Amino acid sequence: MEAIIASEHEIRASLAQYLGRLWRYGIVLSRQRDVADDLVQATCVRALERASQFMSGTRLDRWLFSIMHSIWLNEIRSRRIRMGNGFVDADVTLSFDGEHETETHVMANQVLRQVNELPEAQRTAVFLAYVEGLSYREVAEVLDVPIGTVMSRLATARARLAEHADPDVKAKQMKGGK
Amino acid sequence: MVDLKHAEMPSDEMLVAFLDGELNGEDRARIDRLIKIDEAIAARYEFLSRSEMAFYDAFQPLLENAPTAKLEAILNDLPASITSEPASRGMSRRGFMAAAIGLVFVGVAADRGFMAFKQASSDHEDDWRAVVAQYLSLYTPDTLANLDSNEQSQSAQLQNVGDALGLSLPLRAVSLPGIPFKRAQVLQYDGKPLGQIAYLDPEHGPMALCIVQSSTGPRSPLTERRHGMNVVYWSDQAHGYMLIGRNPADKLNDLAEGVRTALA
Repeated sequence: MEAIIASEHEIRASLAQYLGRLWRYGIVLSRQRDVADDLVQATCVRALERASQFMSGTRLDRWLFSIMHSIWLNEIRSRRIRMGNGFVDADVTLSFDGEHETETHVMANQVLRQVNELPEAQRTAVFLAYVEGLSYREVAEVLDVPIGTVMSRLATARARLAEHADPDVKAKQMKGGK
Repeated sequence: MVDLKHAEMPSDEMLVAFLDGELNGEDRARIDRLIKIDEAIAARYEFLSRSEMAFYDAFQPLLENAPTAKLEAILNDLPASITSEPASRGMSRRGFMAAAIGLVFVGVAADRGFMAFKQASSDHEDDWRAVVAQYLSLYTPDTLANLDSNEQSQSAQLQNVGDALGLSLPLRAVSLPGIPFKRAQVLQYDGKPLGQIAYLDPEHGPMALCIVQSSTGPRSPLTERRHGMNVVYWSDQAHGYMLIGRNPADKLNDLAEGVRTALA
């Protein structure tokens, strides 16, 4: 019991720096800004509640991602589906305004659109592995699935992305964030 | 002799894992060799490689466009929401309640340093006050509102704190007139114990008397402002003290003087 409050303050002090990345993951999961806001809030609350379960020395961002994922899966997505509120009407969040339609933006939007079109399970795996730079094992832990499932989701996603890729444009610099 | 021209096609999973640098040495070497010697495998590999995109860069603008201020406000509002009006979203309400319950249980002896404490730690003797101020700035009245106020447990808490710091802390000596004592706990700063005695001023909110071991020698009280709060700090032979709160400086000085005299 004693460690709970200490950890809670510890987590609280650190949460602030991850808000942006959590929100982005919320967008990737829900594709809707208001839901992403809710997800961040719920994740903060849950993280503070469960502060005592956080293993010191492990990475807080991974832990937060897994909390958000389980909230999404168990509480929000299921509720929305029950409400008959599907995801066809995803708002435009997986793209950004082309006020300055630079070449970089066009390219980035193409990538975003293609990732956005992937089924959710593949989309989240792609995001965690290639944007957030998680290892397969870490992705498996966040998504709470076997590592083989992560491998097959990524392989399927890659095959699908490859289908739509322009063979001439072999991007040079790819994933980051390790 | 294996017919290398017709090696068995590895799964897409294996090829993608190879692409992602996720294979161990043996598997990596095998796939690497197969790609070099088998055209069909090389073609499949080349096909899958087309999915390499600037994923990382493409998602950066989303990060930049995150509503940071709003999210920070959400985070900062969490404790205040615990006892206030139910959150409009049902799922949050349960969490707030659980967080509120979590806060009721007290008597912290943190073995591990707080992250914030570590970040701010350095050789400067003043730094501990900055960290304490930052820490206390996270407190709301709710943080301290529902603590058990029986004298016996409070004395036991003070005993713990006193033991950790090597000084005697009678409840009487650290009581502030008109301001309820709420809790005493041992925290940690820079690997050393830090005693925190928390009070809840009905008018000005959370206050704390914090104590560390110190070898700077006796110093008379000085005042400063940190994180929107007033601080009175002083030291004696073996300890450094600070009293911090949103109380006006002169009032805080009076309170500090009372404690200083009682502990001397």
